[in-house]
Amino acid sequence: MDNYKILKLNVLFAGIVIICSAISIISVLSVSVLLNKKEYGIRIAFGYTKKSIMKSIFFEVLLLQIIAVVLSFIYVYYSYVNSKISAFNLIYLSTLRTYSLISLIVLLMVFLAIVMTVPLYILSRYEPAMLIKEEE
Amino acid sequence: MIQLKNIYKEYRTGDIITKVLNDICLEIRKGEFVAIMGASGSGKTTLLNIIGCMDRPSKGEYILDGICVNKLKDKKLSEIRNKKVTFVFQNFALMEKYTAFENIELPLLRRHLSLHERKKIVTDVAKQLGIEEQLYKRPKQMSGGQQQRVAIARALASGADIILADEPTGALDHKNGLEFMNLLQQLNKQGKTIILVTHDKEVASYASRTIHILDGRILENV
Repeated sequence: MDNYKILKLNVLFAGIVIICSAISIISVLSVSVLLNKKEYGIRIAFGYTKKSIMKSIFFEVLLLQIIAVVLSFIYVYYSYVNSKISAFNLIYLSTLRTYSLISLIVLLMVFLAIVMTVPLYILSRYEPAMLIKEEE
Repeated sequence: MIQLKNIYKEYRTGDIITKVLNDICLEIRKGEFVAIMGASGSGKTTLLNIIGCMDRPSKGEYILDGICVNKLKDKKLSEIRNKKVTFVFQNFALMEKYTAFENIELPLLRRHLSLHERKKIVTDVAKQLGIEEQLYKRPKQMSGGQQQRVAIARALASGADIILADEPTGALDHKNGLEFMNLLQQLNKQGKTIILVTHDKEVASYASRTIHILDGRILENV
């Protein structure tokens, strides 16, 4: 196989991994929102707004994703640094430091926006009174 | 203090409209102890939720301390729920993951108070209710009576003048229920306005005024 085909396969594989992880994160977050419904209702009853709760969920997920991105970036970066020195490695490293980093940040934002849509929509459908009532 | 003028509430599920409250007109003065009685499904909890700004009326005016509440935005309503009205729920509505201290502290977290200030308020309220020993226990480690005391401590910590209690003795045994009602009566004597939803006549007898609701309408206001 030539390099172009390998690259295409890599992109396809990466795409499938991203879609699968997005689906699993959406499911986990949606279930988590439903399980914590009562807590959100209690918080709203004592002075929180639905918006402030949505914001806190958003930042919780953002923090987790930043940690994941930083760790994976460090891992990939050092795996190139520690591998055999070659012309390819030098190109990969400089790409990682420049284009890949920017693309990763953009990808993170898009990914975050996609995975947060469903759980936040679920939460927005409930009236504050319903959040507590449903559990009782 | 609390004025409800021609309040209607209806819920829509597809094409089906369910009318829950029908032309409710009500006035509750500061320092009153009011019981709202009615059968299950009569609309008493919905009325309490509207008074507590947890729900909005479909039609009508709700005036709290001279402010027309149903025109306010979510942020202003949350400020009212944080400072002016507070809740005590039937199943205590305590957050299972957190300790009694953290549950009582909840309304104070929106007020930019230091940890020291929050700790002082929580400890004072806990002492007042005799639950200072339970502060670092989680709800599951406490009895029903203790949990209800934590729930009322949370309501008191908020400093709100209006306490809304939705079937507060529903999950308590008779002895704890009576104790709880005496506690509410004491708070009323200290100047708190108490609005209580119940279907129990004995519980309602602690109130100075009873409002009977049937099918979303006020039947009797004595």
